[in-house]
Amino acid sequence: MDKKKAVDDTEPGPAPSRPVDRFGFIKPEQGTSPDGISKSKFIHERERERDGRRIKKWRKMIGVGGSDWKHYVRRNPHVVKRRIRKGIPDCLRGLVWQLISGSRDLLLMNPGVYETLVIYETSASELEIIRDISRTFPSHIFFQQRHGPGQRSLYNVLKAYSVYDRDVGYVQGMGFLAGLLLLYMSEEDAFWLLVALLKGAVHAPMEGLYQAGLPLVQQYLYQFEKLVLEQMPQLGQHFIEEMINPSMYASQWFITVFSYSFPFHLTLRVWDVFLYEGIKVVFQVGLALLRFCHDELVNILFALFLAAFVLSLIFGDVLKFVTCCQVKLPFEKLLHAFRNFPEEATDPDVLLPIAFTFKVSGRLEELEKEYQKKLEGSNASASTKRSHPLKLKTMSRIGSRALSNFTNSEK
Amino acid sequence: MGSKPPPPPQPSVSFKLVLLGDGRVGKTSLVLRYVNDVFSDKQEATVQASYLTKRLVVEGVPITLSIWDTAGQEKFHALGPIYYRDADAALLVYDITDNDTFLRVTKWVKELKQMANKDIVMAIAANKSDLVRSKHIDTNEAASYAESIGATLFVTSAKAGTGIDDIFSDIAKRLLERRKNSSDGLSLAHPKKGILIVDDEPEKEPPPKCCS
Repeated sequence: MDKKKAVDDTEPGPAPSRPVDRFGFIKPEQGTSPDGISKSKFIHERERERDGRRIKKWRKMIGVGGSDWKHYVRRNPHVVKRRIRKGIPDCLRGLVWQLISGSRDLLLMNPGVYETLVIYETSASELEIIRDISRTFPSHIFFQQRHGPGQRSLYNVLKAYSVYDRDVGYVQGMGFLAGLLLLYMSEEDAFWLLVALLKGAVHAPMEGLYQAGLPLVQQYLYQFEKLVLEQMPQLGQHFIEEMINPSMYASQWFITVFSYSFPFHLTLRVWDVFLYEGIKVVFQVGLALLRFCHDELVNILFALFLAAFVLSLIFGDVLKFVTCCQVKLPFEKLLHAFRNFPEEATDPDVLLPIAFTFKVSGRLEELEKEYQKKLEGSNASASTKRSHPLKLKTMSRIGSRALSNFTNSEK
Repeated sequence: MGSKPPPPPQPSVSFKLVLLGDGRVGKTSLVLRYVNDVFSDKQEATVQASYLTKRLVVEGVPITLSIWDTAGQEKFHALGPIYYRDADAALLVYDITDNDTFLRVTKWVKELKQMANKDIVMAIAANKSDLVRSKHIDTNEAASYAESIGATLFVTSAKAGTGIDDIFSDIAKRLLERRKNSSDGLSLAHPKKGILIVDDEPEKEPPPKCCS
């Protein structure tokens, strides 16, 4: 359909001078596979067979152009959830993302709106958007060509959104969302999926990620910090002592839903789940990453402890050991660990199962209430009131609001 | 913090430096050139502040610079103050071919004066000099502005690798001077650090006793 890129699609147009991986990213000089795993031919063969079977199942599940999807979801929600967690086949991803995010319905209810936003409207954010266009997935062939189709689509989607929601306008980070979507669907589809996410077609709206003061980012970071303390008290305490604030490592996870400087194959798998189950998977994956980090850090700490002990024996000064014993991992090491997760952590079939072991839904709700109370207490004007997902009935209003925005600004 | 036992003398003096400036002026590229001596024209936009360190020796004193590279867009200030509130130095970056980005530097200076350390060391990088064709780069306005706020101005190019070592070592020198002049002398280490374990050999051997 309208996929820009599927596994076996070879893009016509300027031939890339360097080899690209299966997602279209230019391979780094040293040709390690993007999966971080180099596989033998035999495994490839078996994988292809397995993928073939999965695609068949999926096709049956969604029907022609998605016609059977809603019916299937209603009857077998658990099967759908399980299959999505295993990963949506790449060739069906674009379509399924539109189905599970509710964006398909938005599109159908608002014919012509996108075009109007792109063609007739000017946005105060245009310069800011242009500035970032070539800095969004710069190593992907689709976005590489200056003023090429990829960059133009990206610009159009972002500009259209900045007109559609002038409170949000454009914020760095949105480009990665839009860019990711554009690799799997047309401009107009990508735009409506962005709307579905930010305005909350299925899950709670996420526009607060990008509003002035980034209120929702602040709330998520608050929730995340508490969860870390509860799930990994040792590590959480360590962060507090070293004054490591989650905004130093986790804000990009939330602002771009793991689409920014994250292994791409992993990004896709997180997005499969994210679009179906909502933002909680970002918390879960974040916790899983820290769990890896945690184990590593505990090992390092133990090694340092031993080293200090041995040194104290050599120098025969046990007192010195005792005072040195407050061995702590320096700030630098910790933050380094966040950017260099062990390789196994980048395998979605290892990371995601660990992520799903964290049961966070209930706690997230409580923490959200707690945070809101705290905010009210400190009478902060910027609030992230919990807005419930839009009901289908109100969806068409989203479109008409876009148009009224448009006509208002005409005046 | 206050409740901890006083840290032993450090093998090196550490300073916190923050990079500030408008989007796409080259903050990340400057840091990466300085720390790793690399340059990429495919640098992604910075969405979250990132942290790097660089060790150098100034006048025989080993120094560790903790460098915070921040996101340029104004909205990200909401997450910002933690990066510059206790910074010892600020490196303000603008794009020499774009006057608006210079205005942004002046805004940052105002904010720093209100929010940051009073004696914060400031330097201004007029970046992307490789884009200027003529040999005479006009930095008069910027230079006199820099002087008026007690900052130093350097013309830099992360792409060509020029001016970058100069600006960082100028900052380091001034930081060291400032610290020497302050009453606490060199022992004034970062309050938030516990025992700093330095895995790379520092350029100078630390004193043999770590605790006394």
